[in-house]
Amino acid sequence: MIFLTLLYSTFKEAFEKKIVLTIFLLITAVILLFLSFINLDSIEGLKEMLMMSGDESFRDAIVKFETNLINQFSFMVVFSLLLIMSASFIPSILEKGNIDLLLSKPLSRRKIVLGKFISVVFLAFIIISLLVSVIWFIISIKTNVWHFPFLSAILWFTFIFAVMYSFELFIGLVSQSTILSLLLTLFLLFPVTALLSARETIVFSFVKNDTIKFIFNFVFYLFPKPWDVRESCINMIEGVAIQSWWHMISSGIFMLVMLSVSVYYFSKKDY
Amino acid sequence: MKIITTKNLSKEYSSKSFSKEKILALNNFSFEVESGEIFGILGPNGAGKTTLIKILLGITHRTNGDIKIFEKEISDESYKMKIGYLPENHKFPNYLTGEQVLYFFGKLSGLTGTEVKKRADEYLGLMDMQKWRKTKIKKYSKGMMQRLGLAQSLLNNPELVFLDEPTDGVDPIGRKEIRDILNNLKSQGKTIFLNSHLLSEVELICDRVAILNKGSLVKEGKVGEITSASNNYKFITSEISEKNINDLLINFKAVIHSRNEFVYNTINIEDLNKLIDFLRENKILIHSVNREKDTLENMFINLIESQN
Repeated sequence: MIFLTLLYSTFKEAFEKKIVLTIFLLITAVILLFLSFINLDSIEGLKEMLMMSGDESFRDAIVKFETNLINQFSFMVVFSLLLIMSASFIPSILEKGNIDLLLSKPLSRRKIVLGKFISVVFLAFIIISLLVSVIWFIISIKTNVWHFPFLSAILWFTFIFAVMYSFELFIGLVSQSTILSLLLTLFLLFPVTALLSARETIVFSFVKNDTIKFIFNFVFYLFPKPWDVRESCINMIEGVAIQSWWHMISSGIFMLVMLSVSVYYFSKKDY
Repeated sequence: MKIITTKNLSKEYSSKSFSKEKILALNNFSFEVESGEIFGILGPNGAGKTTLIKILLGITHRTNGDIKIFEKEISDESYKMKIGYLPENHKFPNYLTGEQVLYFFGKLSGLTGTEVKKRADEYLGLMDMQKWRKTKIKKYSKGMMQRLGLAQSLLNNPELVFLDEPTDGVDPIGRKEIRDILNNLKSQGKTIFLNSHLLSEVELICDRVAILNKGSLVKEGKVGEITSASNNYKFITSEISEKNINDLLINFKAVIHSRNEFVYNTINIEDLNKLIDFLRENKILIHSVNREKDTLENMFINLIESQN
């Protein structure tokens, strides 16, 4: 009941503040752009080219095409948009005059934090579902290759968003600032976690000091691993076995720690 | 039945973040509110009134002391089902309409959709807000926001209502209407806890008041007892000569306001008659004599000034 009311207010706020509308427009623009690239001529051309080279099936090429869509750039763009959309939800409920009313109602502070978290993650889930399923549908219709594992990106992306949003929520609670919580979360996503993820291939080729390497490794295990989870997502879509679930588990633990600290902080705070 | 009981309630704040220096917002504050009364809390700015309300509502945590509302410790959140609250400078999400504000806060108070709709109709009508119910509240005036806030605080049919400056920004007619609503609530047996800077208003509607200063309780009692008649007698007379004014000043210690108005303070009725005899002997006509009543405002100002 309380969760549904908080869900109602989150959706109402998102739609009335034109946040979701802006995101939908951007997604529609991406889809239209995508549609203009994928026309039947190019598909036929790709088919013929593959038949000539002969070493890769058409279906594999389509799967490769799908996973290429989840490249680092589009990953950054989608998550930046989602984090921009979600940054104001917590600071807006903490505004003086609003938080007093909310806390005077018969609902625990834990329910307020978790209810808001679930509502925002659910909103992101709907947006991600729309984006992924429409792109998947267009590719499938055009190529007649119905590759269902691509849809698993909805759950992977929602999980990554939930992890990053738990951090944004905590910063929002402490700072009560939309801008600060957004900037710090974007900073965590890129460059911090991106660099940590690529520490062995990029950073350690420049850094030879063992202490610095140890610090990088230590921080890597402490922080969430959105880029590594993205790799696992790509593996699953390509049908490659996932070697380790550690990135998922440690990111999940990070999210639970962030939520627990947020609930504790919010419960102790005077308004 | 005692609706609110506090014992030795204290609240300390840090003066700055991470500072060890403490500010005492409430100092061993003890009081009780009886069922069915309108209780007013008064005090200068920074006295601790809003802190007290926030502690009672669980918005701010106490440092020490006991609080019971409906005879239960407030750590049990269930008491909030039976209370309503109108904060000072409340801020509803401005993208909502008046009706949606009531729906949202009504649902959070534990009401069903049907109950919210029924009561929203009732209270929007009572607040004369029916025609604005579908208008976004960013277009509302301050007075309209107060009316909507009051409707919101009454929506769950509370037994105890906390009102922080309920008539702030409301015109005199609106204030009278709000007073009538509060008296109506009282007649229904509801308990009202009121914080208002308008002392004349408090005097008109409150049964009992507590006066806070620097976090401590300095006076508590029934309004009628606190504002009892003073020993000041205000005389309006025909014009008094210079010589007679000097006599009034020297012999009677009167406070002269003008040539035909002065105030005489005495607890002895014989002294009062002596003064009247003096006026008659000197052919000064008495137009009126009124025993002044100590208003809540006068009493409040004198009390706070003496404290400071």
